[in-house]
Amino acid sequence: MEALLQITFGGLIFGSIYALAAIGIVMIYKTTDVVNFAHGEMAMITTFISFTFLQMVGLSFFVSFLLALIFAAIFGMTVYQAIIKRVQNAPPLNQIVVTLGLFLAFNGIAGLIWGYTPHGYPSALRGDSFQVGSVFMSPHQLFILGITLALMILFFILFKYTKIGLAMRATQQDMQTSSLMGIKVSQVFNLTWAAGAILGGVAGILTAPITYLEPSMMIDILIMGFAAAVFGGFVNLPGAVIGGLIVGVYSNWVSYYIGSELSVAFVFLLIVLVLYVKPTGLFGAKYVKKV
Amino acid sequence: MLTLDKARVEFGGLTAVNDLNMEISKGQIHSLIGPNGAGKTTVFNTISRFVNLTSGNIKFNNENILNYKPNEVIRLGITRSFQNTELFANMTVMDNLLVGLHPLTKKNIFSTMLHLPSVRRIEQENRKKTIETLELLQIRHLEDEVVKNLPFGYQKMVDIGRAMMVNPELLLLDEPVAGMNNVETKQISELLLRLKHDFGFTIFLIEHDMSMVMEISDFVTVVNFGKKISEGVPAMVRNDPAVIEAYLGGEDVSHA
Amino acid sequence: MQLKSQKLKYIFNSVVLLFIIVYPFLMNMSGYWMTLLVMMTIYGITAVALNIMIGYGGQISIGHAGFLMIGSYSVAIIADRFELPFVITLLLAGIITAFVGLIISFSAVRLKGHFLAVVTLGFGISVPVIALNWTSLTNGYSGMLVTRPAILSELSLYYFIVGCTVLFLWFMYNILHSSFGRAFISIRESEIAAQSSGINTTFYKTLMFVISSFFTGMAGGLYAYWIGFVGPTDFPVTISFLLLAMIVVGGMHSFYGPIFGAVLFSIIPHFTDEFMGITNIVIGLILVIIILFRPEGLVTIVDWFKMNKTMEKADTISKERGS
Repeated sequence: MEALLQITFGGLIFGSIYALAAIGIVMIYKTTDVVNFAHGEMAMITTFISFTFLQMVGLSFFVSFLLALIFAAIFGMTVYQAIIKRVQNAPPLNQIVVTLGLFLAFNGIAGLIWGYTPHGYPSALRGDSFQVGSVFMSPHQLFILGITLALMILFFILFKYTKIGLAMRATQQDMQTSSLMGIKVSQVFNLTWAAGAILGGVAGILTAPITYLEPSMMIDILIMGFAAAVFGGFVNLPGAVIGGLIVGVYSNWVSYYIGSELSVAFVFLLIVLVLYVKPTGLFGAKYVKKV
Repeated sequence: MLTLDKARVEFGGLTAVNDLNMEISKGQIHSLIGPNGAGKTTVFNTISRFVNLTSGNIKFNNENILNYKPNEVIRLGITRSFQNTELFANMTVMDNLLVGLHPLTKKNIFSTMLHLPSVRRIEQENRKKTIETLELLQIRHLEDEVVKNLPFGYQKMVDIGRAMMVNPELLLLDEPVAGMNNVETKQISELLLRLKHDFGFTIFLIEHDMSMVMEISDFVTVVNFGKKISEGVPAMVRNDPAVIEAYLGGEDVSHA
Repeated sequence: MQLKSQKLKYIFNSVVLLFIIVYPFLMNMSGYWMTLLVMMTIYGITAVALNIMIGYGGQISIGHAGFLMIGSYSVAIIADRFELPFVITLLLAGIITAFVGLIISFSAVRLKGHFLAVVTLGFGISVPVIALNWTSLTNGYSGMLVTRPAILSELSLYYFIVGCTVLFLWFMYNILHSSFGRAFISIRESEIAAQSSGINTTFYKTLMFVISSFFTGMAGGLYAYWIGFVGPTDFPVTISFLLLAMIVVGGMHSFYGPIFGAVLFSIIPHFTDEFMGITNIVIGLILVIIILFRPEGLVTIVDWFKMNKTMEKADTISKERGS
């Protein structure tokens, strides 16, 4: 029982990271209609950038963190402007292939610059684990939880109560009408990609201390993030968050009780089952094709 | 031959087809007319099983159509064309029509893989049949053209041609002459009459071109807001005040 | 015109085949160079098989390397435990892989676009993980040695693989240029029209999955025989992307495009492998550039002059109609 609690808690921590990744994927899909398979690799590059500020330039954790996120925003916008914009109205296959191409290119670039040997990555909060009830927690875990919660609240407020948020929601509803109403749709797209890249970057920086820092660190996170997004039918943000937490807890259970390396395979099984029952995702909309 | 019995379709709160009773008799050209949004295409979609009835029944030769899936309807002898054409845009005219022969084509994956003579023979026969249809439609010269490169009028022809391939008992045509010029409209009218007389097709037609409808139909049903407001032979429907009222807000139908 | 291009195709195919036959002698029986060509044939089969789904049927898969891996392990495991003729073993590998494809398709045929992409990606990532962890069957990290059929020398195995490749490609060509192929394409073009033409879309999508995984599995089996060893890192998910790249870059709306892509992408690593990372960068950038500037793939270069002709013809048709 104590083990179960501990494993579940650990799963929630991982789940927060998956949720962050999933929110980025869902936001980008909802607004710009593109599923970004390079999301994880963009996050990985951002993490390496923060590492460069931290280790090579010797800045403090939080300064490197902020600088890396600024980089992520610019990175996201650049990718959108230079490449994604041109396939925004292309068939899904073309979009998927382009983002997979970016996946490979970013992976290669990171390998070329930073090499394939794993680096250790320090966490923001060091210190010993402590016990709450029967569950052990480390400062880094709490940091992950805190950052995730803070970001979600921030985005919620941004979405609900600011002009930019309103523009984003309007664009998601109907791009053409929005642009007729005077919303600068292209700016909304830029901002979405910036925000998506930031969320991914945070997920990367939070992951690095747990795994290691290396070019393929985000592949598993990406597939977990996709699994979470699938729960929300790719369009439902709260659904993606809940999906992230479910996937996190579930995969941690699998790791503990069945085998640590098998979690990806079991998550895949879960996605297949979910989609078998409901082909548009658990919290997704019903798909209707007009004749 | 085709009977709609209190057919009703609701989308959310909207009633697209409202307890519609209809009977289509064999060997006739039966037209379904009504203003835009009257639910005509929905009627077609229920017959071809893309849309489910909320209540009511549809029978074809005493067979309950609702037990069939969209891809099985053709086996009953019902085919259809589409309002905005649903063609295989990147395939040639020939290939589009060949797909129309699908239900009649015997297929075996192993003999296909080995390209056995039996496979080649069936393919030859199918092509011959397709060419006959193309000649009937007078578009033989377009055989190898990719459909998306064709003008809309020809695309409509291909759509009709594909539906004709299996010699259906009942042909559902959704606005076959929309967007066509007078010459082409005349050509289609003649074709439909020929299909009725020479081939014994029964044709269920949705059309906005009133002069065509009045000229070729044996029977006309008028719907508005999913409800039947009139039916009868063209001359009768033309002068029905309810039709004139609903359809054109008072204008004379015959001049539409 | 038609006849002439048929003849050209025939001559081209014969020249290529002749080259492949004398190739080992040109290369002094060098194992490295023969392996390079064998990899081209294996990827060629796989790319065409994958293209049945993607280019013809419009059903995306970004986990096809998973099927290659299942095929290769099937051969390794069967050859290890049973004394079967190697042709039977190869066929069994195809059947086992097709069976896995069938199971995946139960869920996959209900999905569209991005959902299908995610599921197949998950599959591609999961297979190596399973190969790694199912130690009793796969020997885990250490991989498995594959006993080559005793009757075959390296050279005759090479010819056997080339023969299989020609045969498999011919099979797939026949399927795609038949009423099956037309049904696949019609599903890509319009599922609604396909259904109202009497095509059971679920059945044909399943069939695409099964055929595609069957030939991919046998390609994996050929790989196992040639290399003589299978391991859990042979077909990572990046190979799935590579396969997709072959199709897209070669041209997915043509039978020959993916073969061309397979040749190209088997050669590229030969030049770039010295620098870690460069291969991925090159392949990634080629993908992006092709989609942005030539989304129909490189085969369109061959079709260039044909295209101008169709345009002229389309022009006359619309004029004819206007009169």
